[in-house]
Amino acid sequence: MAELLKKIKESSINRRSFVAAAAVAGASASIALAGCSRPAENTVTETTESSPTSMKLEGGEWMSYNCHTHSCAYRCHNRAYVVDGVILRHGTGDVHPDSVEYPQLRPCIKGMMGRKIVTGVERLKYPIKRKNWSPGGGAGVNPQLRGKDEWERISWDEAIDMIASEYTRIRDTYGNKAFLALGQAEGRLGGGLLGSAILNAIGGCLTTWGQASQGGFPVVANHMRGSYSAGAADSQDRIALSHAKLIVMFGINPAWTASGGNMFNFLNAKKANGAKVIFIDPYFSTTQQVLGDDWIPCRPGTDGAFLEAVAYELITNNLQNQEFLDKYCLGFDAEHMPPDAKTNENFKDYILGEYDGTPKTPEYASAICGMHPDKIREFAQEIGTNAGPIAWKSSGAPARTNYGNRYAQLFFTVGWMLGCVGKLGSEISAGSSSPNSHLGTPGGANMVAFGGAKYAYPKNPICTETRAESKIANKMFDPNLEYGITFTETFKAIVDGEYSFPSPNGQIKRSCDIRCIVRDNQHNPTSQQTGGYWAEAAFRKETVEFVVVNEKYLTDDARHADIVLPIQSTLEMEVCCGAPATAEFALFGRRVIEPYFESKTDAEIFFLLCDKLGISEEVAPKMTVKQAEFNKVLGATILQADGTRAPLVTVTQKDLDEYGVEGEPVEGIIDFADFVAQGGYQVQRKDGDHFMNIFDKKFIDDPAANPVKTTSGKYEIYSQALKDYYDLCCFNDIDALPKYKAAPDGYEQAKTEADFKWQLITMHIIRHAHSCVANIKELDEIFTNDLLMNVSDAEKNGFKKGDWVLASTREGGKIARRVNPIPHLMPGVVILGQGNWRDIDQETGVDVGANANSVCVTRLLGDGYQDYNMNLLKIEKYSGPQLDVEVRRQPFTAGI
Amino acid sequence: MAQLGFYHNTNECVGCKACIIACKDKNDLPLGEKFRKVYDYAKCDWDVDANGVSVPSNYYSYSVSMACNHCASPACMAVCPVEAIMKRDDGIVYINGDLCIGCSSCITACPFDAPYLSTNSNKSKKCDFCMDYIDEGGVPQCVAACSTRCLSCGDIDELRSKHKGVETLPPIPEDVSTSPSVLFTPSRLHPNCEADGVLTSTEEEITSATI
Repeated sequence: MAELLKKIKESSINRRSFVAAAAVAGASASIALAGCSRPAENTVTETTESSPTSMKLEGGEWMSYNCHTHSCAYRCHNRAYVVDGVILRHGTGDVHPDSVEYPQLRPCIKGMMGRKIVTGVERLKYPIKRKNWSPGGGAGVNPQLRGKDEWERISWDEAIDMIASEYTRIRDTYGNKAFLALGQAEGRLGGGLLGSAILNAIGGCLTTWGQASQGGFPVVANHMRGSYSAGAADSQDRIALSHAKLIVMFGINPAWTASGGNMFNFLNAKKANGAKVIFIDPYFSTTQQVLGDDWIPCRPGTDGAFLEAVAYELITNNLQNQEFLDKYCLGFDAEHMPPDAKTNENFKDYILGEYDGTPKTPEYASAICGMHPDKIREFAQEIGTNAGPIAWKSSGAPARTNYGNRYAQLFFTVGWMLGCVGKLGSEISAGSSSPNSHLGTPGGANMVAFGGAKYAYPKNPICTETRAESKIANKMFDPNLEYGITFTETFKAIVDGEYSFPSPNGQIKRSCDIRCIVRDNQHNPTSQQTGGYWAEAAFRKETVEFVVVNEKYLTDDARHADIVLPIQSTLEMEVCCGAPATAEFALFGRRVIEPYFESKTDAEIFFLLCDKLGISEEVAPKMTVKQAEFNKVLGATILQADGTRAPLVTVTQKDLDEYGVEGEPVEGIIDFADFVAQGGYQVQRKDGDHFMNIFDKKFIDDPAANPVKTTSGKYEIYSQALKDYYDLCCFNDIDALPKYKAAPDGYEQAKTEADFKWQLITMHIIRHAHSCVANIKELDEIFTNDLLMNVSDAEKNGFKKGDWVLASTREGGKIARRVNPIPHLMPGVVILGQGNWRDIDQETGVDVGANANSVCVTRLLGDGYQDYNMNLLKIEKYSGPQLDVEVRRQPFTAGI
Repeated sequence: MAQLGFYHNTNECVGCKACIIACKDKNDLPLGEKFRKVYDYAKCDWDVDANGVSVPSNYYSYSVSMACNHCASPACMAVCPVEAIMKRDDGIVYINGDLCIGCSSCITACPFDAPYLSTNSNKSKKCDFCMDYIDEGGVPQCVAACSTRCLSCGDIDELRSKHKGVETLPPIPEDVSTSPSVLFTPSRLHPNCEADGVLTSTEEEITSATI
């Protein structure tokens, strides 16, 4: 390495003369060509002449499997060459020739690490119990040792006995509200399940609720626009997007958030018609290095101020689409106010400063968002004069801020001022932090979709809110229901014995006495929820008598459990179908390795506990995983030209018999044998096909006949219902009219701080999918996940590349991380990739694993959304015990 | 004599490193060892005024994927004392592990940091262009795995006539005295290839060493 660095240094000295000699003029010409032709000169066929992965391998079979990353925003076509139950090689998705219309769904680094991930040293093999914990509560609990105790192996019989007896004892002693079920629905095992199915069956439990990815968008979108789908319905599909002439991306970085084939789709969409792509982002992302034509750096949490100034420029230059606003929107000007408005304020006059004496000029915004006023004017001119079609796109990221709700209002409003809805190539899509060009389907349902698994899990009798149903976000608040604990407050509430009921500022408090923490599904809330600082104290609270976690590894919460049950990965399930993303592909995953040691599926564990606790089949009808997954195949459908759906897979009685499952034969468009051999079914797209999506086209074509689901039936820039709903049951404030407002831990505060002055954003990185595979050292060696800081900031503060720093919050969270100074990040902003596993140094209290949520504070916002991108840090030199990067650290193992 | 080579369009590379992992999978490389590396390189000047208005200029970022360049005049081959490094008729340069004595001469000689000493075997290792796949009419695994299809391979003369580009660009070492069989399209953001940026990759990310 030192040798290479030396070479790099030397090579830079005389680079200019070399370049002059090289054919650079020619290179530039070829780039210009590539921008306007399709396929590009750099053809896809060149890289895919044949199927290389099928070569030199004998005695086994190529099999498709469902990726092990349960919370990835993308799902690729993963294949493995398997000989006698051992994976010899991973595939590259090359099951068919590669083209723009029918691209190979090439796996990312995570997918191709499958064999290392599922059989690594860290994988749990047996049920384990903490040595100094014994059932029965009292002196046998030793809660202070959670997270640092040793483990001992127990049998499944012992584990199930202990869990069942503890559940019964705790329920009978403290009641069902003493249970807190963490986690969220596991899509593969039956959507809608939240909390814990087994606790539901014995009388229920408190659960957790709120928004994660979507930030402040859902409630706002549902009131202003009448719908919210996290980008599933309002994004264009990748072919429709190729008709856009201008694509504006707020906080979107698919190269990292959906790293399989998604970037290829974006690239092709851009190339097709030479669309200009503009990014608003504090960081010049790797997505931009491929797609970007212009970059507008904006401070975290200040996009709203920027949008106000854009609106000002559009209005003062008369560049807004007045016809669209007059016909489809209410609240833009005094002549078009909604009848239920309780004030006379309209958006246009607010922007012009009629109410507060402050016109929202580029100069006004510039002092907040950090852009030059001329850049704001240039952007407004660009979008206001571009003939379109314009795709106006936001990820959830800018809305994952304190006033992300207000950002959401302004994002929609300025989008409507452009009128880019209802026409091919146009869109206003919100919250699609998922793969934007791969979602986007008529109605938001996948083009090819599996049916339901048909598990019949019992519902929770005492706690209603589930994230999957999202009652608060969907305007369904009912004061008589129990909602449980918000994500951000989860661990603090356990410590404090108190949590907030949906109400303004969380003023209604309820007491809780959590005696048992259960996480029996695939999620890692201790890693993924703000307020993670409180997690360790919560697990060690004296009154918490029992903690049980189902896991593949010793994740943060598993390390703090009393019993950990080893679960199977998707590679071990006999059948594993489907995934939430990739609308064009229904993946039929097969078993590519035998279940690892004694691991079981979550469903099997559920039924074992049902038997032990005497839960009848009437309450919890038994079903094998294989049958449930096969039910999805039997119910699989493909979208038809008339909007209906038809069966996808032909399954005969012979197929059912051979596979050993029950069901009715079905007639589809692909034989089951082919479906298995090809690893599922991928739609072959073409321009003009019926899968292309134009959101709200019916409303735009005939608004009177097809009103949107708002109070007025139109888009509501002024939304009284939104304001009223917030005043009823949401945690922070909003105005009926879109208005930027400075927030705690925002830039306005940062600039007054001496120490807590760094604005932190916590990005999805390519390295891991949330906390999935964040333990894998083969990925650490290619993505080290240091704290990213602007080069000049690092210099000014005395930090060199590779220095270890201590970053802390006022709440008390502390992380240690290496610094990597980079030039293309806005000064004052630091980036930490989210999903690292928390690892608290027991001497210093510092999280040396650097989980992002150790430094994202507990904060009640809106419908329980979380401001992962708006926290202020103090950063200083780290002076604790010496640290090394993850790739050279000891793995987390139970030693068993 | 024909000469196979790699073509990398840095203008369309997102630095996803699928090429590295696909290569490691195909070649069963242990932790730390890499035949192929991706170098991230960036620049941005900031003008920050008294009001905190922060204006970027002269900015670019791009990623360069590079393995062994299968040079026309391989320095590694020239210095190998036991003739363990061979060049095939199709130009592929490979190391015969049976002959390698682990003296590291090739490692010192290579301008591109391609060979490294595997502490597992005490032998020098590097990319062999997946020559087993080539022999069966295929392409190297890195090329097959490329997520944006920006990494290609073929006859280097054909690639050069098809894609105008450069033999090297920052942060790859400038020395092309070995006639590397590789072609790069520079980023549209930085067509002049001046070495005025910062290598943002970390040491671990671009080191080949058994851990």
